[in-house]
Amino acid sequence: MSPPIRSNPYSNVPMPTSDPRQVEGWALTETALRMKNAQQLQPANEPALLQAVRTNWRLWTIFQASLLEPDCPLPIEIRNNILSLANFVDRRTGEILAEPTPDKLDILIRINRELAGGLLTAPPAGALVPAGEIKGGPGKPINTRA
Amino acid sequence: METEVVPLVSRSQSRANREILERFVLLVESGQEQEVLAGIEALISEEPDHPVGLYALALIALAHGVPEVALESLIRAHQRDLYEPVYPEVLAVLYIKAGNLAEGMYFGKLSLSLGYSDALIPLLPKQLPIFSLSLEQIVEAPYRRQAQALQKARCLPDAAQFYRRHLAFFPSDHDARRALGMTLLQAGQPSQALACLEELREFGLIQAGDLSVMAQSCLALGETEAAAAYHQQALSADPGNGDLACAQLADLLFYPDATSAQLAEAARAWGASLPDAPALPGPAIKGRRIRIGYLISPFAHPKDVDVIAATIAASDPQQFEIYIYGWLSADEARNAPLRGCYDEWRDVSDLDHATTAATIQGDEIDILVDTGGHGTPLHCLVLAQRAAPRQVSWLGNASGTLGLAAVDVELADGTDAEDCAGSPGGPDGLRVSRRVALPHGLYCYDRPLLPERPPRSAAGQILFGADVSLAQLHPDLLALWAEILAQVPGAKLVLRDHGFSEDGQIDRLVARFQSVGLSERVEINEAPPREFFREVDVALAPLVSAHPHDAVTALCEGTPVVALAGAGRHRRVVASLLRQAGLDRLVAETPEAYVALAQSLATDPQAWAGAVDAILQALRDSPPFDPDNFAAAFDEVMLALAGNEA
Repeated sequence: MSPPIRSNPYSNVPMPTSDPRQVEGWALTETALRMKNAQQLQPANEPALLQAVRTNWRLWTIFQASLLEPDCPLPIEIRNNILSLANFVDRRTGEILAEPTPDKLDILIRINRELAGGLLTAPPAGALVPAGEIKGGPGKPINTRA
Repeated sequence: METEVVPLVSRSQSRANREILERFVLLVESGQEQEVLAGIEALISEEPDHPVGLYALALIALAHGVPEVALESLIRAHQRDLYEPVYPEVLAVLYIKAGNLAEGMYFGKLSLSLGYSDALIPLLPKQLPIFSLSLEQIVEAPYRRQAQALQKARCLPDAAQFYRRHLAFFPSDHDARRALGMTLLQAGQPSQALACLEELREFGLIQAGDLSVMAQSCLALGETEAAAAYHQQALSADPGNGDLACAQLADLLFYPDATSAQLAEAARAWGASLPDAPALPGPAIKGRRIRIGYLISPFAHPKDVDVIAATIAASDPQQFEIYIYGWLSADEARNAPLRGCYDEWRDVSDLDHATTAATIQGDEIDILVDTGGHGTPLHCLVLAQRAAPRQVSWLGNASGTLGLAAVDVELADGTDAEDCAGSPGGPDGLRVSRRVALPHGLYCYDRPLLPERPPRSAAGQILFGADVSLAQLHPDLLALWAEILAQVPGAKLVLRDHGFSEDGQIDRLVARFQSVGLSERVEINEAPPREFFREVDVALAPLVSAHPHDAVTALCEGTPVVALAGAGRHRRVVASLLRQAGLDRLVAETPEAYVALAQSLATDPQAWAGAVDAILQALRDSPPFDPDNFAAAFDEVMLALAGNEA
């Protein structure tokens, strides 16, 4: 006889999570840093530029997806503002991917830093993404080691 | 962050690869898989991780219905060639199909920015819809839902596959990872369950429930000390959790040194920790049949269901109305033996213990009979809530007591004086529940067809057989078996496969038997139980947590079973069953007698033949194979509990 395998022992214990605003602020700061580092490489390194820009794009797509969810808790005005920003990021990223030149990253870096500054310092007005990790796409969440 | 990868190709190389890509797609579409594989091999022999080769592998994986494998290849292809839009386009569709909107949107935007257009549709896998159609049809986590449905239906290997598929697309879904760990354990893959849950530890996300599953996994691998440690950690992390405590109690049965007093004390301590539920007024049955509810465990041994069905079928329908509180619908295959046995079926698979208890109270059940014991924590919590005026513990109670004051009666083996007396009282000398003996033991089986067992000659290899898991292979048992095989040169010990072929388990098994010098004389047989026991000459019951059903399966194939009458119900249940069947000649009172008995049956054809004759007689007319007699005694107990007020 094998040991009996019981029903699921998990009780409904809520998981402690980081403040989502902190996580988002960190993620925006991190991707801004990566874009900055890629921008400053000498000689210019196109693959590194593309990688950094794509990572930033992924982050902004996560924001977009959560903002488009029906149960997004953010006020409609803030949602629309951030979606406008996200659309801009989409357009600028597309331009960079078509013709990657370092100086084109300036505006993306600036947007990230300013938004991160707001998230990391202002009183809570709701997170861009519901509580939990920001998923970094295939393989790893953004806020774990590479 | 994404893995830092140096792309293999430049923009110009990417454009050049398009031709190769088109050729491979045509090959895959034509179904010439061998040619495709040869082409892939040629590509990657020159350039490992050639993106076109990886894409072709992804196409093959999709053709075989394994999108998670395709995902891995596609990601690598995309990382190697950042300029080719086809790869992110397919990734986008795969993610959308998996319900991951964010990743699907990202790759969709990326492919467009890289110049994807409808002109490239011919390069996409035919099995997949185009992106826009996928987006219209997006649903939330479809693979996880499918896994949950399969898990509920106890299709565990398939459930594990779908959990893995979901996790490929949602690697941060820790709850799904937990569910995968539990599913792997339930599917008999404990080392994979452990590895799965260890990944949560890497992220610092281990919970008490995870530790409990890890404990159960360790026990299944025969690592008793590690199991005990994990159980302790789980209970320290979440002290009031009844499920965790039950899991620990159920596992105690497999510890080699656990005595019946220790088991009883642990059960009582746990029972005492639960809030007291007020007693319900006794059954007020006037002018109607006595209503009996059976709690059927979803983890029940299939033969437990047979025993319950045989008992109910032989019960007096004039006296009793039968309600079954079971897992899933009555139409499920696993519930087939119970068909026709009941008056009402209740599917409680989606209910928590409070709702189950409320359902039972709403049905005005007079007597609730539990058949799951500590192995089904939900049942224990239902009982603790006093779901019925009279509550009975029958099957699944290998330790002999549930430790619950809310259980009025624990059925005992009437042929076992120690079991009837019950475990020693607690510190205050009081027993928690009343013991009521069933005169012919706790189990009954439908009378089987008599097996045909030809006489065994003195020549020929002797095969001893055992149906045991790693959790039961303790040093004391191995020492006895080593002694038996030492006394029967040339004999082999055959073990029925309990997932021993899973990674790591065979090594553990070999190590166990090497420690007693037996590894060369042990074989594994994958046959199902009946065929397994038909092929062995003598079956050896383990010392710890032996199941009477396994012994009955052997007997029904005419195979003598040797059992040691250990101390405590959990170590004596097979011996008791053999005695009830009039097969005292197969019961050993001491370890030395166990060895001598096995040796005698193996080396003396007359002794063996005599045992087989006795088995055939037992199958014809002994109490365990007389469900009518058993049911009559069972009915008497139920009538007495109901106060004869019907």
